[in-house]
Amino acid sequence: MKMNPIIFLFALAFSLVSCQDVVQFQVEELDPKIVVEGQVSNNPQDNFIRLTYNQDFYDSGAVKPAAGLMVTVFDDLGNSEVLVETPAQSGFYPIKTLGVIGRSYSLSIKTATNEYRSEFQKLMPKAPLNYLFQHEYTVNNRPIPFIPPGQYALFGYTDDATTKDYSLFRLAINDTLLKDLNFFTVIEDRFINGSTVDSIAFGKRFKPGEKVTIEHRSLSKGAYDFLNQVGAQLGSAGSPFEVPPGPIRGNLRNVADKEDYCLGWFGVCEVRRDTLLIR
Amino acid sequence: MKLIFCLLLIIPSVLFAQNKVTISGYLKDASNGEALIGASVYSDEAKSGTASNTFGFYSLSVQPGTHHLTVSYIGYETQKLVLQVVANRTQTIQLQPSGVGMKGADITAQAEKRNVLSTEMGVQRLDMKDVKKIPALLGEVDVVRTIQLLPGVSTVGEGATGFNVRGGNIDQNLILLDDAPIYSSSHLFGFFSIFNPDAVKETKLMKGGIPANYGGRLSSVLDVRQKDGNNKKFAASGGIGSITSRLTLEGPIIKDKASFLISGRRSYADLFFPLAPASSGLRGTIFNFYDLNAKLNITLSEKDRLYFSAYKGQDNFKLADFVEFNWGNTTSTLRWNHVYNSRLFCNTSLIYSKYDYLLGTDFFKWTSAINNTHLKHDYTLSLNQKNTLSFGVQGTYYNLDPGRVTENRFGPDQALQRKYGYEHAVYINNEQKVNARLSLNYGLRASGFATVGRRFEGQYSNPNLPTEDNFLRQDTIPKGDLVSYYGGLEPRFSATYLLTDVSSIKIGYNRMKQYIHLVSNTTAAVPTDIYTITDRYIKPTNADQLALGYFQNFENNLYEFSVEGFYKKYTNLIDFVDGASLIGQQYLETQLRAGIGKSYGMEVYLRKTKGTFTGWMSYTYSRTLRQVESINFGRWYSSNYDKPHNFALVGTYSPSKKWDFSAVFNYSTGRPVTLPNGVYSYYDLRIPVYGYRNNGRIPDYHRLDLSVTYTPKALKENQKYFSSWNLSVYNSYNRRNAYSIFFRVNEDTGKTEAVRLSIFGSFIPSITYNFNF
Repeated sequence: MKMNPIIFLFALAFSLVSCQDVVQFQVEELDPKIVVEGQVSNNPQDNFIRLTYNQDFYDSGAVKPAAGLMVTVFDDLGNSEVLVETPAQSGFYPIKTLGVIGRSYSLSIKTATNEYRSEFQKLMPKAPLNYLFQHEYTVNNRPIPFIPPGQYALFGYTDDATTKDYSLFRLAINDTLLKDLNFFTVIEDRFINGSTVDSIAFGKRFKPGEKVTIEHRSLSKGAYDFLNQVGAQLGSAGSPFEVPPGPIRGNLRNVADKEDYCLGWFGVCEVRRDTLLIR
Repeated sequence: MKLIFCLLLIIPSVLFAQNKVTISGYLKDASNGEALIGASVYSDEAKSGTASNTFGFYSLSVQPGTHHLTVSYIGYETQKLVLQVVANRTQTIQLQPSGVGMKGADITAQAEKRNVLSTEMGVQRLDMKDVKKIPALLGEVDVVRTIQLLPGVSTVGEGATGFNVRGGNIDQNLILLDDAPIYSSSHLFGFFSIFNPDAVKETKLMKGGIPANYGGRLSSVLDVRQKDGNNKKFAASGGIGSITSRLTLEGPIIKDKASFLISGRRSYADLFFPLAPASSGLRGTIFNFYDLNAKLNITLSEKDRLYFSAYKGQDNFKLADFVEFNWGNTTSTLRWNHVYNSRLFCNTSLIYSKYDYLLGTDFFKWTSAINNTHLKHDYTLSLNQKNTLSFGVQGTYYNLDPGRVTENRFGPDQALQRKYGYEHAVYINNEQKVNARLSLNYGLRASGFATVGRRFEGQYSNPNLPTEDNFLRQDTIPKGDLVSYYGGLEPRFSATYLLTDVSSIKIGYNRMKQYIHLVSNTTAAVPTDIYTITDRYIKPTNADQLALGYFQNFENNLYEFSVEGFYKKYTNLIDFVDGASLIGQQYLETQLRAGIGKSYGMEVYLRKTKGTFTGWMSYTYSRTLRQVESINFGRWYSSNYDKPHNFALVGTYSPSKKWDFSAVFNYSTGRPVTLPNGVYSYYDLRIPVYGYRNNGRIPDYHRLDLSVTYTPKALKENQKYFSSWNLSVYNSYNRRNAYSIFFRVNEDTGKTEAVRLSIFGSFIPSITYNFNF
């Protein structure tokens, strides 16, 4: 996930004197909430909703699926699709209707007692990559502090100057998405609007023979804010120069109770994937 | 109406004051000519006294005749003189320092009882001689760290910039260095303050009962005065420490007429980077800070004095040729004192202050700055024996450059809009001795703030709730046009009633308005945080504070005791929505919400002022809470610096002139944090669910610091070179105080675990060599 370079500098200086140790620390537990994951997409493999429940904070057991709920997708033309849960995959609700760029979508989840609904979000296009190639990264043939020499993947794209764009980039190696937060980056175009952006893919060195996939998708402003907050909290090292964590509310709210909401985020996005074989 | 009331109180006193004469002049240190601030002049015949102002000027109205004057100041030999006064008379008085420490000093009861007699409430003065004996982190004597040991003052943690006073945010402290406002008072990300102890003459912290000549901040005034410079002889002082070295030079340009002071301090940890292996790429690394203080002090005539002081301090961080980051303050103050007559003293100050930073990489350079120019014109009029009137006008021009990107490799250079504003105030304040037991200090300040164009202004479908979702368009307000104007009256009042000769009760009330806000949503402020001024959406914050105190001295003023209670109410207090995005934010109003707040508490202070053992104990119980409609669903929550219990014990034992042993013990409740109360899985990430804001606390904080100072005995009778060694141990019992608790997934077990982050993981010894000649 994105790390503010300024905070990085502070954290670096700070780490020179600070120390960390594991301690026992009790926390209060939350009543179960529905967790929403998934999106309306123009790509069939990404067009689904997965519903689960949250766990106790120190519980590292299996996630409990949220099965048997009435899940409906709406578009801004008044169309709707009631999703049918996959029998063999509890809590998994595929979406048959493919998303269309420029159209807006909303999600509703009904339990026995409550209804949760999202606002409509517009499906924005994602700019394609201009290039993706292998590169031995150097600057003026000099060593770069904290960046070891090796084989890196460089990619670039041109931001659309006419729109406010938000994007998510993820990395897969040999078709497996990396779960580490370092390979989950969200960006906005506030300082790069209309520019061609060059990037060293996640600052990661690759080995020969590895198949590198850059997954990149468009995000709504709300999804960007949500993921940005998630990243900041997950990347927290407790530094005094970080933003203190706080509740991150999803975009599905109880229509009858403003304090009740679902966790996670219902997304609306275009998904692209580009692949490179490292030699 | 209130102004009329004030005048009614003053006018009868003036009418009965016509047959008085005035003794006035300057009070100075006889050894170096430094003006003495707050020194006492007392007439036995008049049974009345006065204190010198911040420039050392005093004025005492008496009946014509013979007067036995007693002039006293803590740390100086008391001087008694007999004056025949038939008409207004100028008398400059020089006091001799009483020697090392305060042992054996003949200090009069008037000076000693100042805490009981004066109308000041919530005021703490720091004597730099005492501060220098207190154990210091890495041997760096630090004014701000010492302030944090006083009642009512706290910090969110070690390494945090600034300090919190009676529940106020760090931007609610007006920090003045020779009248110039300081916007970032820390070096090295908050570990050390910018105040070089060798250049500082006096430090005064006002937490309540703030006189009407101060304004613009809600919670406190930290007034730091630089030394004037020795106008008797050339002198040098300095020190070599673990982190920095210091050197101060001062002396007369024209003896007794003009003097200078120049003082420098620099850290030198980065001097070792050139020794790093070439392959590390660290050889070009810079990591340092420095301070430069300068002052020029010229006596133009009996009635005119000119002071020019300047400060430049900077932190520099550069990682080879790849990242560059520096930030710092620049100030300069030109002051002209004019004595119109023995009763009317005038000071005019022209002040410039700037805070800026630069963040540079291979890809872009980001700069930001706050520029201020201030003009103040202040008068002090000694109306008569019972009334001292202060009045004046003040104006400040703000030019804020929140941020600009240049040399941008990703696109065109960009800039956030500059912000321009004028703050102005007029005030009147009277210090009145009603009778032998009752003294009053009351005043009124009328302040205002005009924000002007050129600037952009966001328009929203709901102007009362400006959010990104209801943003309509951006309007441009032409250069010079008014964007917004706010103003109001700020009454100030305090009263002291003497119960006995050594005890009093005091009551104080003040209203403060603040038109400039620090924009930061991190736990500790960072140098890249910016300030913003009021506009159409961001309104001034107001605070009303009521305080009640009991003051008593014991055993012939050997011990000072006070207990003060306070209640403070805030309106238009700004806080940040969860997940606020502030960096590069053109429309800050979309990330801020206004709410209300309250702070209340009790402060207990006991101080031993003389003898081989000196020191103080302070205990504070306080709470500070906020309520903002869109945060925590409108529920009250603790502010980040709500630490109910704060306890400090500071002691110095001086068995001889050669040895000083000091210890500091500090305890406080852990600060509030927002804790998780569940976890969920999202795109294979385990994401904690955080509860209501500040729903928990980190463990309590405590620490013991020790130090010993060895001052070798003079070998020769006329020895001019003096030195001392100071050995300090910070965090002596090696406690790992939690700065924060954070959570991570253990890569081996896959389980979530709580991690304590401590700023200092062990005790920190240091040694410093100090000298002067």
